[in-house]
Amino acid sequence: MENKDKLGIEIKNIMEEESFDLTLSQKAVNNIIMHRKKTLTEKLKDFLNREIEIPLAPAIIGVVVLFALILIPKDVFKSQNEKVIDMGGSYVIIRGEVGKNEN
Amino acid sequence: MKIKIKIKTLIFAAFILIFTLIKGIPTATLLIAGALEAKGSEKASLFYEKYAYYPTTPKVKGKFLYADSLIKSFNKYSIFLTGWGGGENTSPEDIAKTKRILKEIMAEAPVTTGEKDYYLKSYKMLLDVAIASGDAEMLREWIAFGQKCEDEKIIYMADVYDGFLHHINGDREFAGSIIEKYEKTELKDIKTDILKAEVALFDGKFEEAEMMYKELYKNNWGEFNRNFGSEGYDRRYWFERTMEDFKGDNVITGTVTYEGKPMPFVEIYVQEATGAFSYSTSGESYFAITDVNGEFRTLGLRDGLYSVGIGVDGSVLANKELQRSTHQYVELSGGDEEIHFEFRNTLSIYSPKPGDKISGEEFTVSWEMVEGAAYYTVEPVIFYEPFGERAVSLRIYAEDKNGEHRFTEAKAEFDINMFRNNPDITVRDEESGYPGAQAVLGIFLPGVEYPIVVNAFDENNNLITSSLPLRSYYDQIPSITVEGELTEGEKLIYYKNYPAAIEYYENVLKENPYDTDALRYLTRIYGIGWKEGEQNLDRAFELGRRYTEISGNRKLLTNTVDSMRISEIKENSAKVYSALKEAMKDPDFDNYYFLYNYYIAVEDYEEAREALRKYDRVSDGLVFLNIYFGDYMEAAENIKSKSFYRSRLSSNKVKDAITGLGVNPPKADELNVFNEFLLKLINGIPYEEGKVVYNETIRQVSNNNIKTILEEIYLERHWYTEY
Repeated sequence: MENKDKLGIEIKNIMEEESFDLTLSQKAVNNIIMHRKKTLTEKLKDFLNREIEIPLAPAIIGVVVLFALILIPKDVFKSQNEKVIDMGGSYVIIRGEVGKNEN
Repeated sequence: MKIKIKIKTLIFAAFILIFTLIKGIPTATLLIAGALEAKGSEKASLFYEKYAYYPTTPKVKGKFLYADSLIKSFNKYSIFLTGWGGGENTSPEDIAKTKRILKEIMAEAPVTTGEKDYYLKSYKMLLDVAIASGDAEMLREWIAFGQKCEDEKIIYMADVYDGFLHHINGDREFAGSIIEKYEKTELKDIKTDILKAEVALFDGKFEEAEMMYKELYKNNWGEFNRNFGSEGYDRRYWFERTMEDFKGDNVITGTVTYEGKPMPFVEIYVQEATGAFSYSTSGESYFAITDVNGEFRTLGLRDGLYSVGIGVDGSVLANKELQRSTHQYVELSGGDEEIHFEFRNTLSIYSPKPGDKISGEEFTVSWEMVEGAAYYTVEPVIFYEPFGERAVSLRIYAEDKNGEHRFTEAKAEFDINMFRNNPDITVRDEESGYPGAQAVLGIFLPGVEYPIVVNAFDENNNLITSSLPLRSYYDQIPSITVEGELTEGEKLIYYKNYPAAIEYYENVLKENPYDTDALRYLTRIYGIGWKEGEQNLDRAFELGRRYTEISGNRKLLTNTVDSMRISEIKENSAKVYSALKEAMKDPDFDNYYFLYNYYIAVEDYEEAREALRKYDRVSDGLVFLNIYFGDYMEAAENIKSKSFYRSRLSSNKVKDAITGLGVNPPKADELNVFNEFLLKLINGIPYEEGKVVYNETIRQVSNNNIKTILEEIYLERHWYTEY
């Protein structure tokens, strides 16, 4: 076991010595990196940094509509104008647009 | 257009969105609701509703705020003989919704301190709403609910309201025991103090109650609103303003019922019977409140004439009419008196329906029969500005095709031409003094909606009920709109371009001197005077007579001269007389009030009195004429007649003074002074001169009976008021 390790170290040293002034092209580096097995963190980072294209107008409209539906009561645009008049001792409430006759 | 975005940025945006949905949206909704409420917008409750039912909102808080936004106050709508108004415009629908929401809250189990506070507030509001809506059963039910709760604050609230309920039912001993139970505890709040002061007040301990209220206000001035379903427990000024003058030993008792069933928690108000009416927008303080049997008993009052009114929540008035004859002045003189207020169901009109349009010249009104009704009247509602915004209106008795205005059947048929041909209202524009279009054109103008009201009366002419409830929505009232358009000349009248209308119709008459429209409209325009100082009675009578000759219609002239002042009649007495003579040929002539005016103008007081004796109501003119002619017994009977308008003059004090004139006749010179005064009164004393005439007369008189009558006339006519 010990002899085997010694051989391994010997071989490694020889290889390092021989490849000391070896230069790899960028393409080769990229190729190596690309084919290397990625870690989970790297995978997550890749995912989070991935860019996607979103159509701007529908996105804005969607968010606005969502907020409007949630925030604005459905009857808010209904006319709630109420006017109270006295009609011979009775308390009559005129609602909305029935306040006058049109000539 | 597209944008590139990293997924991590998108995820961050999604987090922001979720946070906004959970926290931001409800907060924003609440802020918007608060801002709208501060501005007094009706829409605030819509946002409170949104907030209440949003999934992430604290349920109890949200629902309470929503319920609270529906009930703005517990101010009561006051109804007196002399006037009505005030109160909060709370609809029955809002009251029902509030009850439902508050009951939903009661089913919740609050955990946090904040939620528990809102739960307590909701519980109190539920009890207040039960009182305000006159629901004694509901009040009892929720008091029992509270008393079974474990929360000591809820139990306290239930007990105090139980004490209040016993207090108004006359069991002040029980109310006292509740006060004693909590007075020394930390739970005690303003409600216990108010209850204590109320018990003292209704036990007759006025000074003690007054002190309690003053003390209460010093420490809790902000908490007086909304207690025991009312806003009327701020009695600080009430003691000084009212009670100091009214305090005495007599009481007024009575009932308030709706179709014979008791109406609990109705507030009873008392005012001096001056003929005027006042109400406090911040809530009236009551002299009595009805118990669960609808019965009341006022605080002790001194002798005098009082106007007694009632106060109810506006929502209670829907579908009800108050029998007007029953709420009147009450005179206390050394004893107790009774008064009863009876609400009735409104009667249904079968035809027309709301918004009905007719294309012909006739229409039928049919309605539900009412038990005990001797006759019915049909009353179109006429707005002063037919095409303008609906505001001020008047109602007139409509005559059917046979000229009748009292109907014994449940149906009447009308001819529109009769309304157009006999214009008899003289509404004037306040600013310009121009007569309104309907004073000339008559009513049922094309394109104008006229609401229709049917009233049922008993044999003593007292209103039993009406088709128009005390509170209603305009769009639910039966109405008639005649289809068609105004003619060119009529449009000139409608737009009050009277000089152009006169020119237009005078030109029509040049071509056709018998054009009935031209004769009718010009008679009215000249007769009423289209503007101050722009009257031409000569031309009005000339054209009016011509119209009568052609049409046989005698009413146009009498309707026109009917609006004349006595001074105008004096100046034109010959013409008026001829118009009257013509009108009196009509077998159904019944315009006795105008006849009275005519005889007053020509100073024939005997005939004037005769005319008034034939008039279907007892007027004060008849009373004054009877006194003038020394018929004191008849005058005394007049003021006690059921058809005499209730006022200060109908009091026993005046009756005794009038009969006293017969028993102990005054000195001749004093009687002359008094009779001169009566003649001035009969001929019409301008309001601004009333005080001077009164002062001049009373300083020449020493007879107590004459003085009493003079003083009561002075008060009844409000001559003391200086503007």
